[in-house]
Amino acid sequence: MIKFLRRFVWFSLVAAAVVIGAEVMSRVDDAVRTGMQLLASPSPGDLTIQDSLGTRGRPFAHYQKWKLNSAGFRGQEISFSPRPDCIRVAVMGASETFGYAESPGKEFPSQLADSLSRKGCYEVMNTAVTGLPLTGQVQLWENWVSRFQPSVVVIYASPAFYLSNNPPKFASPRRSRTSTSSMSQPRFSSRFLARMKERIHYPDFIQRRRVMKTIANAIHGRPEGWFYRSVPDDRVVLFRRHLDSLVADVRASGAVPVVVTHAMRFGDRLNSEDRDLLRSWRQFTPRATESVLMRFELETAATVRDLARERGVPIADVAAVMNGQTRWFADFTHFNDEGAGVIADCIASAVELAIPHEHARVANVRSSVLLVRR
Amino acid sequence: MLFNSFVFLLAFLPITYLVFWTLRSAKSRYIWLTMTGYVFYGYWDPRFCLLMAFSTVVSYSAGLGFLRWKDPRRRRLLLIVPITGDLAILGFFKYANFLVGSSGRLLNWAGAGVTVPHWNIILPIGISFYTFHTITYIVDSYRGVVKPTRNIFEFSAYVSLFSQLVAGPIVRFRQIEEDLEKLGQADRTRWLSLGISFFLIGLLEKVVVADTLAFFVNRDLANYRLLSTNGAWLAMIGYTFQLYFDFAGYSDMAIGLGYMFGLRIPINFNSPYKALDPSDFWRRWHISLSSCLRDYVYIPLGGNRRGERNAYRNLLLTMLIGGLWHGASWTFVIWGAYHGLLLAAYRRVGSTWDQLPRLFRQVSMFMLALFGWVLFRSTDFGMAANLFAKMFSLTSGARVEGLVPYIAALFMAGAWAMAGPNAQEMHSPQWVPSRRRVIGVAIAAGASLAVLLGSGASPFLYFQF
Repeated sequence: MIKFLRRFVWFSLVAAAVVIGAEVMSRVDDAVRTGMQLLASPSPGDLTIQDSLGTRGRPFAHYQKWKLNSAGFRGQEISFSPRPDCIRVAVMGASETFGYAESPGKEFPSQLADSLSRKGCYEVMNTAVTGLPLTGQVQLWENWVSRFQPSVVVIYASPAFYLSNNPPKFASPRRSRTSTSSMSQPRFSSRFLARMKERIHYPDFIQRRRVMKTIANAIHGRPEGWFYRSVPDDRVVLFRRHLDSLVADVRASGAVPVVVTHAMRFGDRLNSEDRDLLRSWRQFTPRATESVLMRFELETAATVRDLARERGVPIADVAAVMNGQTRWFADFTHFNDEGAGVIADCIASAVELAIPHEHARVANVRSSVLLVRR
Repeated sequence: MLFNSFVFLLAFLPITYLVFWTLRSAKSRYIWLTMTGYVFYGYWDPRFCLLMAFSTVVSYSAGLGFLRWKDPRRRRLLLIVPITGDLAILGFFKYANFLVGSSGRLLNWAGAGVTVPHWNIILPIGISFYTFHTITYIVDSYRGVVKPTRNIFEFSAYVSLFSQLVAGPIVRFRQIEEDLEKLGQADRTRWLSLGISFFLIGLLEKVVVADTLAFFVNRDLANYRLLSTNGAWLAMIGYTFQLYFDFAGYSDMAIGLGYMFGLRIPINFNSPYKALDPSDFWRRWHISLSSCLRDYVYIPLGGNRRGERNAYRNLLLTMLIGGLWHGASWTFVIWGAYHGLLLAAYRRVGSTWDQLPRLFRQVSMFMLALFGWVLFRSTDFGMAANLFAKMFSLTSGARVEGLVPYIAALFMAGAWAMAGPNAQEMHSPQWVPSRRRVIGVAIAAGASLAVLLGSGASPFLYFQF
């Protein structure tokens, strides 16, 4: 017995040495490769801040592959005033725009900047904030992004937020929010464990069970009337109203809005992988069934088209191009590098058509000068 | 398959190990090692397994021929034909484009105006290594240094032994013949702790030290034109240590794996940056290659037996071949020539050099090796010239990002390489897995695991050769 206990203690000590070595090295490795502080406990919440300006990107935030500039935007440093003779384009949206799955520098606003730079002098700002619905974006525009004086504002709104139990709504009163709150930071979080979680891919059947369990917990005890068995028209109307509000705000400031229909990986035919991903997506909106989730996407895309037509807003109909093209998506709605290139090209064409005549002339003159210089 | 990949660490190695020690007879263990060698190699591209099998069969047959025929003419034929075949295969895959391209450029320079074709040939990984394995076997059999084996499974296990297959060390048959012969009676526990310790220290050298340096070095050398003088020096010092820890790490892992399977694979690196002169350096750097070059090129050329001039010529020729072995590029050839000249110069002024202070000789030899690595790392002479120009003139350039961790990593790597013990020295013949050592190795394992989880497995630099 004593021999067994001794062995047990010894193996525990060896295991502890492995874990300590791994934890220390994870922190040193982060410090070397990304400049992260040794004692920091990073979390995705580090990327956002809620202050008097609303929910926005935290200036100089850094988490895993994502780095924000001094304005809290993803990408290069940017000043409040646009460079003379250049057209500034702001891209607003949630995680799909922020760049969730793409390699750094391949998120679609970056590729949009590359694409537009071939046509003239453009500055593209990625002002997206993960998990931010249209209501938050209206606030972000009014309090923060408009200060950067973009000429064109691309709006890529995620409709799925409107299927959650409580629909997005404006904070009340909209402009007087002054409370500052930071994300609660755990005292200690293991970076070694975080690396393990990041690397471990559960087999499909385990993953499927986990998803089904999450959904089952979320819908447990809900009455039948709680579920969306068909597309909730009031939520579509709400989506449209909020989008309309953002478009009007952008226009009121003198910038040109460009609306973009929301794309998803699912088309008419679903294979087993699609069905798994669709179920994974439902975890975030358990109230809607999978088929409602898909139809809601299609109906809100149609709403965006209607709004664009009625208000005379330029549109990039990305949904028409990308829906059902699984090779362009990393999951249900987030793009991979290739897909981000496709949406960037679609939006670049729409931006070119949208820019006011005098801006276009400036951009083209600038581009000709560059060509002559080369 | 990489030693530092999860598929190797979590699937291939445990399965290979468990099945190997479950088998009892030498023959079944040879067969198992052969099978696993082919799986290991074929994981990259199964088509090239045929090439290795062909090379194995040809060399094995040559060995049987040596056993059968004593007639010198026939034996010479048995020496020349298979070696020519091996070298022809190596030449086609590794040097065809280089030879055709160089000839075309020469003809065009002379005004011939020819169009040079470029074939899309994939270089099979490890071909330089296993070709050397088979050639040394044939030559040693011819010389009578080894008795060729009649057991094809034993021979194929030797050629396809996964621990040394793709990036060495170049283990000669005679070096592991005794262990191979006794594989059936090998004791699993005898060298197990030694093997695990060697393997984990090698993993630490590769994953923690070399890959951390690679993060800075690759980033800077990808934009070498933008480097300042400081940046160029930092990048090249970083590469000097990266290359060492990358290859020495791989070799130590191979030695560790050998021990785990009851095979003693000879040491390949003996702290080369502690070398005091060029000759000492080549006794410490890639020992298995330099000893092969000595025994199969330098000495057959005449060595130092026919006067000083011939000795210089032989040194230069041997190192030129050594340079070309590393890759089909003129930068490798010139790198080889550079080391040939260093060896010749040391032969000339060695007695004076040896009188100089020890520290001066060590630092000077380190710098001479570093200048060689500029050629070795450069993709063309333009890059090498650019780097040398930046290193030896005050040039402004892009700011080096992350300077503090960069210098800290260089300092730690430098201290270990130039003053610390190497894996061999850590495992003296009296090595026992004391508690302190086990804890130390456990920490090394944890650290390597953390980096592997963060950045994934990166290929070894010597895979390209």
